[in-house]
Amino acid sequence: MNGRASGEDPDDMIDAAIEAAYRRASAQIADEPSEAARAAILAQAGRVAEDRRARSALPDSRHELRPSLRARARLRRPRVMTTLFGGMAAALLAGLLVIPYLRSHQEPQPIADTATSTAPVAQTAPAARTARIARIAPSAPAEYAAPAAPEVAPQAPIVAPARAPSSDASTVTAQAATPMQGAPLLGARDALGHTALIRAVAADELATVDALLAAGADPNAADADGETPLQLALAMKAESIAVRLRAAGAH
Amino acid sequence: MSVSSENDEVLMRRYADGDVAAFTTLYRRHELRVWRYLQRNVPSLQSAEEVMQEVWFAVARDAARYQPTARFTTWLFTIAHNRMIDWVRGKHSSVSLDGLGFEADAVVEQLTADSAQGPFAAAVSCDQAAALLRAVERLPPEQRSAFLLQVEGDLSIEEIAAITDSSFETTKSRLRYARAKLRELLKEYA
Repeated sequence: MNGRASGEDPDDMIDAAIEAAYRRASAQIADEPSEAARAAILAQAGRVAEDRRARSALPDSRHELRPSLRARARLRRPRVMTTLFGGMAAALLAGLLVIPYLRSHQEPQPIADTATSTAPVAQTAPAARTARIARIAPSAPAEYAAPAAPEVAPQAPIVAPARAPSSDASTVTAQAATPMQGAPLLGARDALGHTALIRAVAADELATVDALLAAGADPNAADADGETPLQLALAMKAESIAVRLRAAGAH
Repeated sequence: MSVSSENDEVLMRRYADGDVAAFTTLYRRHELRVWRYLQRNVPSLQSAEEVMQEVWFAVARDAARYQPTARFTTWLFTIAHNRMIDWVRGKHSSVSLDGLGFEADAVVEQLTADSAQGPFAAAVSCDQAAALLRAVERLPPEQRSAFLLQVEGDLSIEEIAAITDSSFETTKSRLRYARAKLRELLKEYA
């Protein structure tokens, strides 16, 4: 055999023979998909191309002018945008954690230990504190930055005070305080209706998502289009975030 | 340069830009290879046609996202392999590729109907060809996929390993076992 004489590996030759035999066998039969299947495939290709042309011809579509968070997430904007979103979410979170802390540590503590005490506390908030809060969370409600009415300091240091109706702001009771009710910021929305949690998901910032969930952010709070953080995470294929959201009760 | 002489990657880019003729050329060029890969991996012609359509629909749909970082055929057979696996594991999860009654009898009929080489030669050749195709179809699924990706997709071991999500050595072993079985079969006809 020539192959052996020339030093070729006999196994390779047999393998080549097998492949050749397979190809011959395949070629011997009229083995092809039906005309109907072929027509369906080519028709579909035509439709897809037509749709693509139509989409690209749309001038200044709303989608292109202001893509949704989902679209932006899919486009995977440059890291700088991701960092920006993450930074904004982190700033909101920082405001949530710092404000209750400042409240509990910087305001004079009431001497009375009764849970229903209505004793007023100091009337003046230090100007430095006001400025600091304004810097950390510029979008914080005005009452956080500069409380106008006297209030009772909370009993536990990490418990944010519940807010009384404005007509009775001077008699907030410690009994009304609930854990992490610094939540007005957690529920705050930007101009497009996105919560901090949604923005953190869109930025693919797992640590921020964790922190927001731990702080009590609602995992099911949808944006203006009705899209929930979980739906967004799934659309982005952000599996880790989706797992955390589900664990937090998202559905 | 005519459409038919352009390489696959250029045709894909042209189709992504809206040139349907480029897709048609691509389809004609690779239709039978993909078809044979699917037909020998799923148990019926009807199923193979379903998966075939899914594969090419996916090619059309994802054309705009296609990046020619790898050969078009590697991308195409990756889609074909994944769709075939989805088909097996998904809505037809109760179906096992092992021991399926492939429509080999139809193949045998077509083969034996070919008498252009004269009655005796045709009978021997057709017997051998039909037996070989049967043997391919009855290989264990992983070995069959690897073998078909190599002979139909003209893919390297590295490419097959990537497509089947296996290591290089595992893929090499699968090909070796597949060939060994086919070799035994061919010896009977030698």
